[in-house]
Amino acid sequence: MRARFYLHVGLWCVLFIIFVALSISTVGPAVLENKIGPIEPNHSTDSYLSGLTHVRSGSDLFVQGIETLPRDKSIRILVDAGNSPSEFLGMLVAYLSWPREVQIIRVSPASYSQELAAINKTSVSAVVFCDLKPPVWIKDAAHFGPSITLLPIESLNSNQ
Amino acid sequence: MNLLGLFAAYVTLFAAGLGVVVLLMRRSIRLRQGYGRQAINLIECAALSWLFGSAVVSLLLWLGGIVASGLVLQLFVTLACVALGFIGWRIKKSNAIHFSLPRPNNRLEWVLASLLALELISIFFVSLKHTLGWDGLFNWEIKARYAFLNSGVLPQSYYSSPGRAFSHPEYPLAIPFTELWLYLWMGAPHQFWIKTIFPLFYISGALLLTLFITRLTGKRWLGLLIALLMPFVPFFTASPGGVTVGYADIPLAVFYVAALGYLLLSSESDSRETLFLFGATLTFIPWIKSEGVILWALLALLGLIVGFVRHRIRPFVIAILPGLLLIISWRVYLKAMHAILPSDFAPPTFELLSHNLNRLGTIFSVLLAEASEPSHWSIFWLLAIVAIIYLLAARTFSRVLLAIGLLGPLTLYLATYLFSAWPSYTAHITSSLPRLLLQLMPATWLGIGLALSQTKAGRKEQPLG
Repeated sequence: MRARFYLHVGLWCVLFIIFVALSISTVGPAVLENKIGPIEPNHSTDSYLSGLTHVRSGSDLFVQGIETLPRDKSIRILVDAGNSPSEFLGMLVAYLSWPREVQIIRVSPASYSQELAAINKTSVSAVVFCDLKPPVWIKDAAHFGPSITLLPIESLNSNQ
Repeated sequence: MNLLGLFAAYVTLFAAGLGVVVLLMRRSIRLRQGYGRQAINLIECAALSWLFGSAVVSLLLWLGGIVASGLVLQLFVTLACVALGFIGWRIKKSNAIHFSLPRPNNRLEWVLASLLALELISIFFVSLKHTLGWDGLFNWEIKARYAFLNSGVLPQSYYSSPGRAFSHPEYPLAIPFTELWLYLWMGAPHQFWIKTIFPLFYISGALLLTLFITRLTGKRWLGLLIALLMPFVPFFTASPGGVTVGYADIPLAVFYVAALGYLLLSSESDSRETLFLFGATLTFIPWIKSEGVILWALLALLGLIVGFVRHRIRPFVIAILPGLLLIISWRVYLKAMHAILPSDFAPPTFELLSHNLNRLGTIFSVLLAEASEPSHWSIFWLLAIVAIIYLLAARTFSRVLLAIGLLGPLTLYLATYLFSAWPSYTAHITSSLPRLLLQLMPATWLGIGLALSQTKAGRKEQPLG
């Protein structure tokens, strides 16, 4: 009975020691990395936009840009299918575009002219390209860092 | 203004939670008075106040938002919170109840309790160092933000918008509407301050875990040790989905371990208090995240089994009814809102089941690969296997019940992948399985704690935990 008790204690001690020893190399650096702040209302979206577009305080700036668009028309967001940063940017754009209706369209960067041509110009106010090179014939686009291009629908009409 | 508003939001949340806790414990406190015990464990009360406070406020915001918005909605929920707090205080006064803070009994307990307190404070600050993760931002905060910008109510256009289907409009509102409550009081959305709610769920879970192990084994040092070890699971602290990124998996895990813990206590004693607390924590499990329905169904079944074995089937049936009502109400609401439903899973049919049975091998191999990944779990799941063997070998009702409470959800979660509609179901498993395992992590620590004690079930509940 006593041997069984020692076996029990020994087994769990060994298991816990291995558990903590293996964990500490991952948990330790994770606890120490980063620092608190900045204490900003758009703490997370600013951080993501800064990383992906190199624009600081990007959330407010983007919302200001979107505010110029009519609320009753929707926005088409073109993202590169299979490119994670592009798709993530597309969702950030959708997040910040509230209350405007949005539609995220996953396209192939080589051939998205069909999707662009299919956009209904009467119900759409703008097209946003996320980490996606806009067609060369586009001139009047607004650039938000190197990764986001906002194209008012009038520009699309006049250029096509 | 921000900090003052934040403080007011927390005070009202805790007031509502405290009222619910005292209401739930009222009857058993009355019964106990005959034995000269009129105390509520302050630690248990604080932990449950947070859980019930967030659940009740989010529920009130949702229900109140059906008929009101803006300042009227905020006033209604505030009054309800204050009323609940006042009722709790009145019950406390009229029954001469006092709160008691359990103190460590010896040097070992003092050391462990001090380390645990330090650890809980550290985790709180660590969780403020990171941004909201994908789910934290696009599944949860997005709802709080849009509801705030729409006078406290999520508009129908959000639920039915195909362009925002990526944010899972069908997900329940406990987390986003707790965040919304903070926004309403702060007067603006604030992605930094809402991160404070997530470590509070973890802290509540760690404290409840300590209490459950203490009460079920009679060894407080063991409860403290297990709670101390919990954050050493790497996925919990250092990975997307853990406590630092604002996901709902930790809150769900905490509600699950709370309900399971009170169920185990109910199975070992005739205490009405634990039965009420089981029913209350069980009710809110499906309100935290969609997978909660699976956890709720399993615990409801286990509750019925306990009721049947203990010849108390009626109170257990009553305990599961509010949760059932909540599940049905949310489904009806989503239908009325024309919400876009997810297409991650195909409708389960026998034909599809038999067609996809060949997935089982792959599902188990992915599970094995994930569970043995040291950078995610260290050897946590090896500890879990050893603990489950101990629990089954103990051959006592409550230990076997706990083993089912650990193995059951895992089995059901894995079975859902048989119906995965993703083009690559292995990608579906790889992306979601780690977080499903995380939801079972605190409950598994409970199992490890009970396995360690080697105590046969049947001991009486301790008064102060």
